[in-house]
Amino acid sequence: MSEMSERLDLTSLVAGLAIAVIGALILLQVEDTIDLATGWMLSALAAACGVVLLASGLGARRGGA
Amino acid sequence: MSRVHAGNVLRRDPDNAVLGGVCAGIGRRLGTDPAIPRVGFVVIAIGTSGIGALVYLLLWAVIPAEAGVGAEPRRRRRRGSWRIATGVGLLALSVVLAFRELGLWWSDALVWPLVLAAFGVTLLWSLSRSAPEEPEAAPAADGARGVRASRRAAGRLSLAGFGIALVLGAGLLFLWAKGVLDAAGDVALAALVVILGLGLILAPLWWRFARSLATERAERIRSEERAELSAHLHDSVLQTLALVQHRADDPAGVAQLARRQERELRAWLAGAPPLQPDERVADALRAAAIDIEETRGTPIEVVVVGDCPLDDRLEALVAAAREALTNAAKFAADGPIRLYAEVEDDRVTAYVDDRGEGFDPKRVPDDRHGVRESIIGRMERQGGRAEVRSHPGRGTEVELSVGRSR
Repeated sequence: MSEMSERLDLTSLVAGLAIAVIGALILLQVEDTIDLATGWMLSALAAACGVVLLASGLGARRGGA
Repeated sequence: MSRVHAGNVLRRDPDNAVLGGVCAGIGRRLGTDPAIPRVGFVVIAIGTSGIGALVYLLLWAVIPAEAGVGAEPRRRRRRGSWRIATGVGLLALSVVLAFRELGLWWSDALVWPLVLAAFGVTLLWSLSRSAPEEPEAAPAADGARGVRASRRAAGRLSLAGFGIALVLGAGLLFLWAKGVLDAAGDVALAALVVILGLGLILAPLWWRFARSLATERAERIRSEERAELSAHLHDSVLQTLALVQHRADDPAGVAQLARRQERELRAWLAGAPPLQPDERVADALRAAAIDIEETRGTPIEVVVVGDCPLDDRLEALVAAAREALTNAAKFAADGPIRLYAEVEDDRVTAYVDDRGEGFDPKRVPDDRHGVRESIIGRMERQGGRAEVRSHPGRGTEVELSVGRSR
């Protein structure tokens, strides 16, 4: 378990999840399942980038502490 | 250790509070400037028509305050700070955009200039705080220090310029959105053209001036370093050489003087900070070795990998290592004596090793308490372990190990 947590790259995990969520939103939009305004999409993109940067910054700090 | 634990839990920080200390606590938890979460909250509060302020009040009520926090040590810029700051900024922007889509919004003319100004003010606020001072480095590194200082100053200047541009841009955006600039459009355009022209004319002069300032600063740093080097050589090396001449008939004393001077010079060249034997385990071990070396006149090689704060267990390890070093200096006076210590995440291990006459541990009389009590007993009382490996004629190795407090 400890080996797994040592190998876990938080930034990659968060980035992967964020891309999956954005991808799902775009897919649903293209399929006309949902109707997202540009503002919502921008908000989601900003949130995704923000979460990835935050995870990367915290990860770097933890690794370098 | 309790302070270390407290740092892992989100708590309000009333000592550094502007309102309730929520943002100061978040900033401390993230290890970043509290201005960043503060401005994030302001932006969200504006962008959400006040709902962000209610969230702040809720957090104020829910998050407990840090009790008994004294003056916090000065914050230092740490790895990942800019990524964390940008991430927080983008998350705040995301919330603002979401509330705009929900219709909980004052107006674009008000909110966007405020958001821009808030980011600019955050940047300027962060820069206005005192920059972390570089520890004293070796004189050999003076040139590199000058270049680094110049680059840092240029970077801070650029960021300050960007922050000022953000705030001015926010003001202009607000005026433009309100239609104020339309009336003064021609005048503003003319002024802008003149300013741009002046900027283009003056830019080379300004650039040259900035470079000459940086060069002068680097020269001054080099000159100060040279003066410091001269003073240090006079106060230490020359004084020691004078003492050596006076004590030429005392080889042991001269060797001790030379050893002390070597140690001081090495520490100075490496830019090592003063020892803190009452606070750090590595410094406590080094101080113990220096003390015994000076008392017994036997050179001791010390290698310590890692460091951590002292506590009761580690104080016992240091005391046991001191006893082992004293024994080694007594029975292996011709050296070499080595102290190697390693600080790991969960435990600290130290080895004291000599190539002296050695002894048979089974034949130590019961009334001799040096090894049994001062080393083995002391470590066992703290939940640690001490092992003495020795054979007559083949030296002695003492291994000390104790877990770190959680």
